[in-house]
Amino acid sequence: MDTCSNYIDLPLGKGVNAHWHPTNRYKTLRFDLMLRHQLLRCDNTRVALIGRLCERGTSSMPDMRSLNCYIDDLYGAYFSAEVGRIGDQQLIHLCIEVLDERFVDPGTHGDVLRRAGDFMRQVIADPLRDGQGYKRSYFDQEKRSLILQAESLYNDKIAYSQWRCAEEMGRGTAWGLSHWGSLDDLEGIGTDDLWRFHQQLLAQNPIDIFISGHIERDLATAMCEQVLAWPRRPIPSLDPPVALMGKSKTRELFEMQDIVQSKLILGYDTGIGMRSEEYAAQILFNMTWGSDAQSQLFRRLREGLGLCYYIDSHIDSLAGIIYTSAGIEAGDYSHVLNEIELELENIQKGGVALGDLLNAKKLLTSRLVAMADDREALMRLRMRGIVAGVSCNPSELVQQLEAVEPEQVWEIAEKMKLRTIYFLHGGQQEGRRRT
Amino acid sequence: MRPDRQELLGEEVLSVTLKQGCSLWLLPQKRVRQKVALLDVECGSLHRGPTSNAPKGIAHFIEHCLFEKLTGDITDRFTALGGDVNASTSFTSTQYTLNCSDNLCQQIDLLFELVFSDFWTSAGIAKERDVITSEIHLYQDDADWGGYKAALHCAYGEHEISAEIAGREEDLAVIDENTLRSWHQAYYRPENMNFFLSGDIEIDAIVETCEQAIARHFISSEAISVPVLATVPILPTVKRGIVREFPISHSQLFVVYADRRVEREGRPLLERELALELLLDIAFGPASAAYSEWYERGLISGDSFSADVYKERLFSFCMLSAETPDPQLLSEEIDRVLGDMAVSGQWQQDLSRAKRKAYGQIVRSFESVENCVALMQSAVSCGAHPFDYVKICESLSNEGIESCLQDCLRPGGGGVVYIYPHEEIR
Repeated sequence: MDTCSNYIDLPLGKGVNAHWHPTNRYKTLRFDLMLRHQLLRCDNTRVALIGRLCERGTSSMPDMRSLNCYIDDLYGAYFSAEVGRIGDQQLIHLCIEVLDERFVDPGTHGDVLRRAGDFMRQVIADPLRDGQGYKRSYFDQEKRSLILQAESLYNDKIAYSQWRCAEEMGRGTAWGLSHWGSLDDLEGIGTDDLWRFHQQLLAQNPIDIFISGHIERDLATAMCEQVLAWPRRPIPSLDPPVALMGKSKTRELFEMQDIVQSKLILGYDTGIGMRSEEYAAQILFNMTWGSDAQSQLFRRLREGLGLCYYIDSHIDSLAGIIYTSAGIEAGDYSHVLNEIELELENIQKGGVALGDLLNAKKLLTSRLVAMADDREALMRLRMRGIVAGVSCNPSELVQQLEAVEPEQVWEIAEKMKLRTIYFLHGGQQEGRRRT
Repeated sequence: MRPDRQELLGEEVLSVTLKQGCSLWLLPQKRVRQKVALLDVECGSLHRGPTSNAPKGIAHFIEHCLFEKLTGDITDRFTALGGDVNASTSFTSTQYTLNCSDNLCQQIDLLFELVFSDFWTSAGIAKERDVITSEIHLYQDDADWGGYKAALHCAYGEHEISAEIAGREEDLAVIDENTLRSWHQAYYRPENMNFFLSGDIEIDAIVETCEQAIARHFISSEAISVPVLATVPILPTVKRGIVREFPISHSQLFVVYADRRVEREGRPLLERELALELLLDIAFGPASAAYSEWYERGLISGDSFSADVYKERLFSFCMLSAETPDPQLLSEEIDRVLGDMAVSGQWQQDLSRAKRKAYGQIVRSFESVENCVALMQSAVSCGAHPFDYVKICESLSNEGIESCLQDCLRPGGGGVVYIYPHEEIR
């Protein structure tokens, strides 16, 4: 079998995109299923609940114990059911990873794949029910677990403040909706109604399947068909998201908690999404700006001034937003903001050494090349491209990066419009300590 | 050069000790673009320096400072070659990691320059002190870290193992050029290092590169004798019911079971680790009766419950943690399950399933170059061979598992920490 460096399309019909990645690189076979839905206030909580109910039990594996025993018996397969988001779309993402046949008892050859496929079909399409809805006790428990999950975000101050900034950037739009759901809506959701909605999603919504491992085309197709054993009436694909452009004024938001280290998150919009011709230049800008230890911000704020331990920046490639974040002392707020502003002006003026820009390019290229060994990263990149309605693979990106001129990077800096400053702090006293 | 082959996995590990003393462990993987190297220096927060009075946090401090060279931050030179470099400090080692796809030999040379060439300036040290203070503050808000450290305190008291790896702010104040230099001279020596590498590599070129890099960057000097570390002593009576508060939304529980049988080495050490993992999986894993029951009662949320084994030459403990509305009740439940297990011996019924799962996980850990390197490091630091993991999965005896219930996972024998949200949140 030839090893491909990326996923290739596997025609399947039924409004399902199947992606096949034949390769000898791995010791396991990985199967991912992603079901997408537009993020909507009336639906986001329902989708979040459905994702959780996929992990509770099926007709033939009626509880967590039997479900997890089944997985363990498959040589400790890896299974996960997660609800996530890509841009303004919500995602139920199921994944199973099983050992390649080279590593299992010869007696169970063929069996492992068949059992993995059967498992996936059951968890997505046949959750345990009584009457017209999910089993009542599971339904109630998952409502409770969803609340717990959403509230636990508060524990991770970096993730929490990042989400709060994104929520404010997208307030009033799908971008500001949480994929964990809106807890106020939970009460109005009934089990029968939710199961009807689940079936509607299965029948209509876009589904992507990714299969990667030592598997021939025919077997990969057969496995997809084994899983997708329900009638489909697919709706036309969801619209690609439009980059989120904020109002012209910068909003400054403060929140106080009893914390030692304060978190500063800056949301800039550039309006440059994956479909833009400037996308490659934006990636290079981000690398130069705040991503990683060679970046200008890291050098200036950490290495130069010792103002923080971490400073980081990342692109939301569908929203056209660059988030920049740092953990700082509350009393350094103005100082840090000022330094970041000065650095942006510096890049706008082309004040970055060309050698540094070239190095950032090299590092990015090296990471994109290594991505061929990381099928999960390949899948995620491909999936973002699908949502954005644009083909996107690492080798194309490498070529585009190669062609980026320094002036194009300075131009991205010009487009950075600071929309939201979010500051989670523990009080204004300098050097405050808890005892 | 000693090649070892594992037929089932289809993998080969080569090991050699260079004439300067550094041991190389290489795991070639053909047609993989990514390469990962790890240079492991045997000194961590438990080490106390040549005269046993080194400032706390110095192992971590030096890890930060070594990146600063006369020509600026050495990271930039890795970047110019397309490489990512990072470092971390644990209880017993300081690790420098390289991740790249091209220019491997040049970057291996840089990695040795990073650890051997010293450039201490008081300005650099002062700046790094600020950065590390910020790192310490970051962890002070982290309930997971706080719970973990508090649990270690329950089992090991005031021993260095329960202190912050990065030290406290007052410790950082006494670190200066002299203390750094003396630490560096004592521990940063080829004979105190292991080098691990995986990817599509040419063995001979790698060995030659490492040898030349050490010759170029290590200034030979007489070895300074450093005290050998003793096994970390466990308190005669572990503490139960310590309370901590954090800015979190729900209460949490941490329970630590320190293993009283730690004076082991090599394959038996890995066997013990596996035995503990299997028992934890049988008792509390997602396929256990307890896990289902607790989840349905709302005592745990699936996402936050974890049970892990931390095993090294000098210490060994199991750490259980969970977000739970009733930490006290959950800790009683954990002891109840362990008690039932010891009495009924029912764990034997689930053993083959747990072993099958463990086997799958071991095979999978040889899948990525990153994991290969991590796995080699963890085996070698225990004095074992990386392929021993596969062997012990077959050879582990029931007696080996049973003894874990007596010496480590004893009902009532765990250190217990309750974490509550700050009062204003409750």
